[in-house]
Amino acid sequence: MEIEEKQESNELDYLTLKEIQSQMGLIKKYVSTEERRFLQRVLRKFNANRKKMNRTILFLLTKIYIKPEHALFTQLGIDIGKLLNVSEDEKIQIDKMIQNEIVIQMIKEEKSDTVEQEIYVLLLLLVSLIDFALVQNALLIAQLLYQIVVEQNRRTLDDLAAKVFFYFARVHQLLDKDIEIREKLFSNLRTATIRHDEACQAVLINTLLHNYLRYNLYQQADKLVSKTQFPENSENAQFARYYYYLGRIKAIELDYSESLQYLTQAIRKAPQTGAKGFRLKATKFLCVVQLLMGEIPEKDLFFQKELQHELSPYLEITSASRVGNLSSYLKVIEKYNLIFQNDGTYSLIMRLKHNVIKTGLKKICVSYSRISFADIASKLHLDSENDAEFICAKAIKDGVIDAVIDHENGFLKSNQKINIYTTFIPQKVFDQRIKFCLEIHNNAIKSLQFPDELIRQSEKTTEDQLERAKELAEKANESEEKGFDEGPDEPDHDDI
Amino acid sequence: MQEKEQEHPFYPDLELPSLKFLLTLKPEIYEEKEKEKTKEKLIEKIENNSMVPYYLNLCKTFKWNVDEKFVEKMKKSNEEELKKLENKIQEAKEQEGEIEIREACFQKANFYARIGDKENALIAFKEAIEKAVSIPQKMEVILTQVRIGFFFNDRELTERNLEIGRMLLEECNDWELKNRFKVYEGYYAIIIRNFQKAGELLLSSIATFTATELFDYTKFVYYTVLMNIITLQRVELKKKVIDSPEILSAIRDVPHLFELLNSLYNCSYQEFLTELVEITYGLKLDRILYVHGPYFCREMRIIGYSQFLESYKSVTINSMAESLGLSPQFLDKELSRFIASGRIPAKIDKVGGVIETIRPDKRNAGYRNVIKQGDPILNRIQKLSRIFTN
Repeated sequence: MEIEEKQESNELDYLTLKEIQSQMGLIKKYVSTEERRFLQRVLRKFNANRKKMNRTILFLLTKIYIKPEHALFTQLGIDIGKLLNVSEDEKIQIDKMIQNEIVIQMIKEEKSDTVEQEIYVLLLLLVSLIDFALVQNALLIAQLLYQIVVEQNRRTLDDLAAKVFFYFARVHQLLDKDIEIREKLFSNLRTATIRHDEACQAVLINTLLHNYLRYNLYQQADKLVSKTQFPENSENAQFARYYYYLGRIKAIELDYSESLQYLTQAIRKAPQTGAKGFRLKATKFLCVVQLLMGEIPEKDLFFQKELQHELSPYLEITSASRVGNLSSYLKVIEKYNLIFQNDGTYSLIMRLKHNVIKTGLKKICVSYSRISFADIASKLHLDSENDAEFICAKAIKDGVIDAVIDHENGFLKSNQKINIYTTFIPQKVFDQRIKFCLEIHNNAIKSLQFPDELIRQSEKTTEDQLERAKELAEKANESEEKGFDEGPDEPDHDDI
Repeated sequence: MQEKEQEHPFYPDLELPSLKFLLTLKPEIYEEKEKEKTKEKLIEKIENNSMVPYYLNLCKTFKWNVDEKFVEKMKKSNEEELKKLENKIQEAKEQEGEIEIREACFQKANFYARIGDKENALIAFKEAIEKAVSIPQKMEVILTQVRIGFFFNDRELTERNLEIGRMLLEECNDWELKNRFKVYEGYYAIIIRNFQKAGELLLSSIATFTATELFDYTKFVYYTVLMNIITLQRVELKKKVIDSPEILSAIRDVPHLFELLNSLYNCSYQEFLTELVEITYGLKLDRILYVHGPYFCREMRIIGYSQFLESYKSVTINSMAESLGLSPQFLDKELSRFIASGRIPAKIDKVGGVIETIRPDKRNAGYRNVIKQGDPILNRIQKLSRIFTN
């Protein structure tokens, strides 16, 4: 059984090696033709390949693709075997594999002198070291990669450099050394902006924001956001991170509606499957911000399959706030104190106390057309009638409830809903939407073309056609998530 | 074939889980004396059917002392019977024809169902259904498996088999089977709180009820009335339930049910609410209805209040409280709760002590709906539109 397993894993290793070989070929193509889609294909498969890595493969890859004169060996004098903590068995396996034909062929193959290929292999090495928890060694590789990337000024290196910066920052974060690298990240950001290197810009802005938020430096983070412009053509993953950080900053600054918008966008741009930790965090903040705005998050938010268990404290907070019951709310906070502190949502949740009262008030306003302050005070367990009156006044000013205070007679009177059809609002609103639909219809007709014009002359093979079709579908998927801000204006839902 | 099937009593005996459930109730709801009697009855049935696995299970759940001799006796009789059945199957396989093999397999599976051994029963039934040829025979197996699902509260098993049964019955024209199946589906619908569906199914099978293995006729009428009183409108309720001869024949056997029904229809709210309280107590004693107790009570109250308020544009809190036989404070709490969750279209004027009803304004509601649901669709179209190459 063991031998069979070993043989199987060997087979897998060879397959992985072949896979990497084809990736290298694509990189070569990319460098020569400067067509981004080749590199995008490579990067898309990066994560999948990362999971397939093991020590033997990495050893062989460094042997094959990195020349012995490279700085990796000369400057740092790194013995890859030690770096990876290769075990005895694996050494034997490596030696065996080197004898194998496939590997020999790969070594003999003529490699072009491209930095990109080296960086790709080193990147795989770096992320694998992080995955194997050899973080100190990862630090060495990260620093080396950083040096290489910073010295170059090639446009073809942009996306790879972005990845390098990201993992560079990540390794430092794991070792709690991120304060040291802030200066460096800033200077790189300046360089990237000058060079219009959008991928690097996006990644660097995100890493800096992450850095600040980790140490609760919200003001500085806010300044960074206001002074920089996040590149528009970045990938969804970067946008997701950016919106998440923005959402958190706005939440601390009491701008809840903005924060809500950003957090919703962040969740939308995040991948549907995978990235569980990110979605979990973003959903937690989304829930709290919604509660702070006085809205009750919908139940299906909490019942998404994978996230259900971790979101249960938040479900309880929501139930307590929904009912408007102050005492049960305080109990829930006490119970889950530690969890909220770990999540970083504790400070926001403390602010919720007022909201619980506000929600209770809202509910009263819905049920009662007129109600005295004494009754309000008893229902909400407030101290006195005056308290109730002041809270109502504040709530009306904030727009939480739509009512009028009758001070002499001591009651709260909620306003009636007006028949909206007595105003011109329906006409305007419908007009907007009809115009929008007609515009899309006209654009769709205009962009109808004969199929010949879409296929370029060079892509007559079926494989390329399939690629093109795939890319078109992906573009549609991407644009599905990008274009959120550009819908028709939402009408004012409050009735006048 | 029909007579042979009717000879077997239907296993597993569904009275057992109901008895077991009664034993799990708190003493306030179900007295200790009654519990003793129930326990005796339960043990008696177990003995009759030699249900060793089920007995052991019960002992674990209720922490009774296992009566070793009892178990031994039952085990012996089980083993003997099992051996006999196995032999019969062997014989049938060697000598006799398909029909005998099938019959023997089915008997063995039934045996497992009888003693309450779930896993073996399911395996045996799988075998039996492969041997079954005609749809009625397959349906018998399916229905037994559904009963096993009800017995052990295994929703997945029940759902799966109901699916299979539904598909099989589409090709079949046996109305008796179809009606029986409807009762099974109705029972399951009650369990999962799909009261609308349950009401419909049970009501439509009331004239042809034959599924006594699930529950007897009185219980059936009980379930039917309860499901329909929540879901049907007044006119339908009168026509199909209150005036229905089948229901009228059995309804008086259930305490308070007839009074509840009539008081709701005749708008005597005081009586309605008192009967409702009694019925809700009764719900707690029923194995499948007890989880729905609070829900049922709440829905009935909402029906009562909205029916009352339908005739008024405005009514004083005091006069409403008097008609309903409640205190004004309690009524205020109830109404504010239901209005806030949007179940009752009204508004309370606490200062003037008056409740004003709101007539639904369909045009405004429709407008709001169009905007609310239309906007996300427009957003998605807009995103797709970015693919245009010009």
